[in-house]
Amino acid sequence: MLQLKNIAKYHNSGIQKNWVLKDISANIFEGEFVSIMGPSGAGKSTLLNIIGMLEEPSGGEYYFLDEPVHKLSEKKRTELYKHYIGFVFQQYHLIDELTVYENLETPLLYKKMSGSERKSRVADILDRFNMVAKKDLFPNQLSGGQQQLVGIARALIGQPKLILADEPTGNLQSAQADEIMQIFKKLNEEEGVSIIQVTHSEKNAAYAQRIIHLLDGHVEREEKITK
Amino acid sequence: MQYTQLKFALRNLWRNKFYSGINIGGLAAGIAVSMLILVFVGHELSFDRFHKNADKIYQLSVNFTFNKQEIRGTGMSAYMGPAMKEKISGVDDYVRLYHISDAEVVLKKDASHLFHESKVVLADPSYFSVFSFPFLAGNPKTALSQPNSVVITEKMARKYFGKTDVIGAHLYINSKLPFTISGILKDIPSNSTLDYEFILPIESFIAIKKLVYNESVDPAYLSENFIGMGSFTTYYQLSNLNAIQQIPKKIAEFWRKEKISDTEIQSKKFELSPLKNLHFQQGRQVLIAGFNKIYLFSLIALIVILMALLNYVSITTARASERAKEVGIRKAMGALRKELIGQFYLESIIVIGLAFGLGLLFAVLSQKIFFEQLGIHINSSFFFSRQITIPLGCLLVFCIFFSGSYPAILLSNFKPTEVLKGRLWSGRGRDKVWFKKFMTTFQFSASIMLLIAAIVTYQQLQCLQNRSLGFQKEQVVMILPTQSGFTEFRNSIEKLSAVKGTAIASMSLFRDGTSMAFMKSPINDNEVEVHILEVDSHFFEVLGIKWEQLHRQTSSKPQNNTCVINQEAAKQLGYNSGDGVKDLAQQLFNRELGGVVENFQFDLGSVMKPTPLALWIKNEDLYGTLYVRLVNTPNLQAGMSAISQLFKKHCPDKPFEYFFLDESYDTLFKAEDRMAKLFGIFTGLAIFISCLGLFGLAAYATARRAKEIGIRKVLGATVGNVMSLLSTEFLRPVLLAILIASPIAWYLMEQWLKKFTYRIEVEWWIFAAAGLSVIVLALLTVSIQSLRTALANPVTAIKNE
Repeated sequence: MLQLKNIAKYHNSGIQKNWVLKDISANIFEGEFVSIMGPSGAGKSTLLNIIGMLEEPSGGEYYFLDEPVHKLSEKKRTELYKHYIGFVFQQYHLIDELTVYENLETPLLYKKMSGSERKSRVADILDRFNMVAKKDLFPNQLSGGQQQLVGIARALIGQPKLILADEPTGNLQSAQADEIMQIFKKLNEEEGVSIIQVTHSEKNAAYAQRIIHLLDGHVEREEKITK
Repeated sequence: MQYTQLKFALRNLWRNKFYSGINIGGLAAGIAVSMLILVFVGHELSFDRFHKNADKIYQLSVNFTFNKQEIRGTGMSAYMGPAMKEKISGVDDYVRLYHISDAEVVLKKDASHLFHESKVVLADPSYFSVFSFPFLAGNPKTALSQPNSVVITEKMARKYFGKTDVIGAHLYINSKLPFTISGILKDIPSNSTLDYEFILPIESFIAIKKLVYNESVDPAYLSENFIGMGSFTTYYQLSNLNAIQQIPKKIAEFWRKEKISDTEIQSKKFELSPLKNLHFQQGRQVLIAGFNKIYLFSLIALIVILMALLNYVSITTARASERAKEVGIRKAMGALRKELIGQFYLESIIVIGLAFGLGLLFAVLSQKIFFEQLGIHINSSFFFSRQITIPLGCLLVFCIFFSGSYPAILLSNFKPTEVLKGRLWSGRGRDKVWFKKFMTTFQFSASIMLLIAAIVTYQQLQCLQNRSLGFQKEQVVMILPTQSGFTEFRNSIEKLSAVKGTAIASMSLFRDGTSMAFMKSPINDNEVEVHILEVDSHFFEVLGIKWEQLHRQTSSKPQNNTCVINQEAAKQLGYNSGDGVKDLAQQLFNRELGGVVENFQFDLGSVMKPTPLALWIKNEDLYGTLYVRLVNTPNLQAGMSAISQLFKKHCPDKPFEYFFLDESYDTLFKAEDRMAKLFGIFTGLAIFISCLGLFGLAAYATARRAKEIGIRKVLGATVGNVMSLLSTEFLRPVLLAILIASPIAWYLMEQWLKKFTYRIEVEWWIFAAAGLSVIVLALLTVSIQSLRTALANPVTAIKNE
């Protein structure tokens, strides 16, 4: 699905280069569920952002579905991630001024989808996540777990091939966290959606098939989960 | 404590250079305009107040109605002054003035110092005791007591003699009448209604009349005991203000003795007006009628300064959330509310203070151009007079109070536990947005109204200026030869190849006033105010005036000693061509009717509306303005210099002066053009200030929505999506402003245009153009901000928790 070759990222601070990522190479296959772990400051989120094309690497090559992302124009990149990638954030990042329904609809608007199709997609996903009753509520009227459900629903609504989740359960209580992880697992197993998540929790990381451990900007080790 | 606060306030301003810049810059522009207008209004209001007796001086005038028009006359008979002083105890003194304006007066020292002068007046010796014009040299008490003495201003002394110690020197009026300089006045202050540069004794009246107007006046005219209207503007100095009522009563008493009918007495309302109000009463018939300059400019000043202050308030409150955390921490550390209020006031004092300084600098730098545009001269000493410094101080305090209060009270009111949790805007946020949008709407409504008004005013002026004059104004020169060389001069220039034809009229079109006669039509009983002009029979041909009908059509020229009227006169007097017309002309004008011409414009009044005019045809002994139509060649200079040579030969007693007819016409509109230009500048400034405010708000709002925009971009929004999202938010108040401003502007402009006979229609495209240009400006303003946000990397925005 995607291939990282010698990806590097640094920030310039004065004369010194501040290395965030160094020489990262990895392959993620279609239908895989991968967790990225590591202590704070290891570069997990940066790596995720690079995979999500939100940040550009300072060096190295990145192929997504065999397209050389590092060579693509910004417009092409936007097209690519708009169609194949969905994001889930730790802080949910719902738009406060919009209702649940409108939040879910937003990505579809940017895909220039027709009104009727948008309606059926949103209805569909609301149904799937059992949120029909909450569709007219604003984010601040929902609990954290419910907000994250909306966040996941929003990521899924565009029917992406890859979901990138940056500590999706970091702000949740464990019961809610389990629920979210179950959803991820189900999505991965039943619908074949690839998932890459960044997490601190060993327990949540174990939902994946593979764990990549980062330390100080490089891959420390990889771990296959056998069930 | 104060020091820390000051340090903190300054640091805060410095850290937010962008917002401080907008605040201070906008305010400075607004304050500069307000200051200039303040000086202007102050100057207008201070008119004639420098006289020591300002409160006691009154001018006598008479009001009567003619042809449904209210007419105010100030010309009084000679006895009107002395009679009241004798008979009424509260009248201390009087001054009679006779202004030599309509005729051309030339003052001469020698052949090389020879100028036309218009500020020449004949006055009683009391002129210098009733009014307070300081003398540079000479004795005010005796300056006018000798016949043939003259008091001149310092400026004039320099002009004629190049020095100011010229007492005893001579000046000649129209080369004949010598006057001895008996006093030198300091230059007349700019805020004086009486701005005469040459003051001659009133005894010279008979001689001047004879010399300048060629009229023989019975010497008894000055001394006879006649009470009524006449030639002299009369001022009284009163010690008892009861005289204001007594003088009109006394006049009625005199008239009853003369057996004048009661209806006549009642129809003439005599009245005393304070000198201080004179400046506002006697302003010339301004085209921009109903545009009281003082109110208009004061209103604009108020709008501009309010806009600038609102910018400050809205930007400061909009940024309140950024300050909220600081307020929360300060409160948590034990700051009292009043200390916080003090802090925010201190900040506004600094901002307003800086803006005032900057504004003052702008004002000083631009005042020369500004007042030149207005066509007024203001003495520099006036800027530092109390009339200016006190209101300026008030303005400063008002600005600080107005702009400081709302932010201070709002910000200091935050609850620390709430703001520290970052919950400032949730829930209450919407009210603040409403408030900001209201201010934006207000600012843009005002801007759009000003813009529409500016466009309509400009169009109306264009409409008046470009209207057909009824004759060909190009290539016609008006020249004023002396009477002695008149015919020779005319005959000699007619031989020049550059000259197509010449004509004579008793006045210079658009420069002089016409005489008027009031007559009652025997046909329809209308009372008609007919303007009268004496012309020779070439006049119509040389100017290209079109005939409607020409009686006794033996030639294309009217007969000598007939009378030609214009269409409007024919209409108002009830003429129909054919029967009885000739009789009527005989009856009214005492001459035969020579013809009817199409209406043409001859003075400001006729530019405004069709005005009845009668032209006496007089081929012999007509002396006045010579109209010369030049042959249409590019080399006008050669022709003019040939004419100038001949002028010097035949009229050595006068400087060669000439006026092109088209230029004279254009100068009619000079004041209005200036007003329109200034109006345009103010409008531009108001729009600029509105945009500045919008810019600040947009900057803030986009910063506040950065996170949302980040999310949207992550979800696939393009730069275009984000731009339109942000821009439409700001367009809504602007669109609302257009909806509010257009009908109001339409109504106001309709009211104004009603005053014009020749007027434009307010067309829909004016609103469209005004609206569109404001939208484009607002969009540009906002997009500078939104583009930056739209292009920003969403990751940074999202990370910022």
